[in-house]
Amino acid sequence: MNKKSIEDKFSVDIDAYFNGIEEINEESDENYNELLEIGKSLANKDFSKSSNKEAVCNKALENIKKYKGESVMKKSNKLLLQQHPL
Amino acid sequence: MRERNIVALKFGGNLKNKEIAGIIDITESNVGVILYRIMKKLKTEMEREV
Repeated sequence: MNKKSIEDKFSVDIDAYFNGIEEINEESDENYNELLEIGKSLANKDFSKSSNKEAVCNKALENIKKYKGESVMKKSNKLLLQQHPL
Repeated sequence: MRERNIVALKFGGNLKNKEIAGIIDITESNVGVILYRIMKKLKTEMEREV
């Protein structure tokens, strides 16, 4: 199995698990199966049980906006350097 | 930080890779790659702790 397809396969398998579909694939690599089990454990656990979900969601969105801003700045700095090299 | 956001959106929000890609402005394929690498990192860290 090539690297690209294993990454795709993981996403497909974990999405299927979210939808209640659990296929037992004996052909898969043992390492891959362990990674999938970790993903399933994460999916099963509700880490937010005792936390304010709305606050966590807002914080995540805030972080994403901040990251987007930094990413835009890095891209525009890169463009400036290309146009006016030192 | 991006990795944390992806984990939160995937396992907390149960979002598909395409939806995550739209939110954080990267390709769907890239989300899949990063997610797989995160799982590998987690596994390494967990094995280290044992």
